[in-house]
Amino acid sequence: MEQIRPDFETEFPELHRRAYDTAFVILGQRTEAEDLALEALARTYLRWDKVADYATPFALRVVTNLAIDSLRREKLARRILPRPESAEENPDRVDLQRALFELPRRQRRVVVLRYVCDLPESEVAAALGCSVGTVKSHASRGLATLRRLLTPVRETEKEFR
Amino acid sequence: MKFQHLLDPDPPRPTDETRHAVVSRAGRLRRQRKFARAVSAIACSLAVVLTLVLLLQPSSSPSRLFKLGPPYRISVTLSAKTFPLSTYPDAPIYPPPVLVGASDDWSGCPALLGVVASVRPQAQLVARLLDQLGRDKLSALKASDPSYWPIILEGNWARFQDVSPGRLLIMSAAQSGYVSLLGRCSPATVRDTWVAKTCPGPSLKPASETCSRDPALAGQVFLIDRHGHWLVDFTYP
Repeated sequence: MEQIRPDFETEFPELHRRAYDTAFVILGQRTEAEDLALEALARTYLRWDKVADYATPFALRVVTNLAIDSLRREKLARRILPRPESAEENPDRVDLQRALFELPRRQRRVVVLRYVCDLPESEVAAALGCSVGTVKSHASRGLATLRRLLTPVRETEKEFR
Repeated sequence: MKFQHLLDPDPPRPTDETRHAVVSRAGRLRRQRKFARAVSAIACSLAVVLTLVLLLQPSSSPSRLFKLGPPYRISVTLSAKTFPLSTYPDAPIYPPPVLVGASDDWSGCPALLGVVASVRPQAQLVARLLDQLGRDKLSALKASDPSYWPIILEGNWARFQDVSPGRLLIMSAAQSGYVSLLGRCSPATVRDTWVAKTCPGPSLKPASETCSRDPALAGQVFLIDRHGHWLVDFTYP
């Protein structure tokens, strides 16, 4: 069995927690969120030499992409096999998922990293390989769209103000 | 986190098992990527080799439909008035025409030698044939039956260039309404001849509509199938 690199070992608990939280907020399913967190961390580990300096934003970007993909697959599957009526879903999460699908790809990434993962703008910029200004503009537009979509007004919206 | 209320109240704690699962997945991903890179390299090499092979192949041979087998020479250079049968090449695809009547007006019919009562030719095939007919004199000779050659050699043959398959209507000679143009040719000739109408275009409207709206702008191309080779034996106008 391959030995875990010491620097990765140190950051692992925090990386795991944040990756799992992000996946869970988006998907709301424990098993799926845990699996995606592991996958994201494995991909981060694979590129550790390159991404060690901004490991958290990188791992969160990966887990975000994986979660959105999973959501898309699930959405597709639901068309074929509707979710049983007994399954309960948090209405806020349903709104968030719907809103995420409405956002353009770039804005969606920025919004998730900035407001779901709570990363500072500089780290979002590092994760996405763009400037802080770009992050600001995408975040602002994405937020405006989210405000429009997340109706009726919920507690989450108040927090954006 | 802005979505605090959506967090899992009891998130899993990472254990040693989780760590090892991550490293093991990373190893699997690494192997998968190596394999994908190897496959991609092989595919690229094959593509390069295939491209080189295709590029280096001689491209002089025309499409199979028009390939004549041995390189028959077509060297008739006489005018319509003096067009003795002896000048026709000795090729099974191009037998001398049947001369009907003897006058200054050309009245040759295609010989029925090797002509088969073929199925309706496809529009793409006819479009290619018309393209060949419109290219130059030698191509036109190759694309046509010897009964049409005097017209080509006088330089007055019809050139239907850039006719797209969608502008063609193909029907039997009897259905075309132009059967009388086959004149004194035999009933068998009429039976085995197909007519391709070239309808005016380009247009979004179907060929049948533009042909019936502007019949004067439509062209008629008469075709026969000899030994599997489609040949133009008459055109109008």
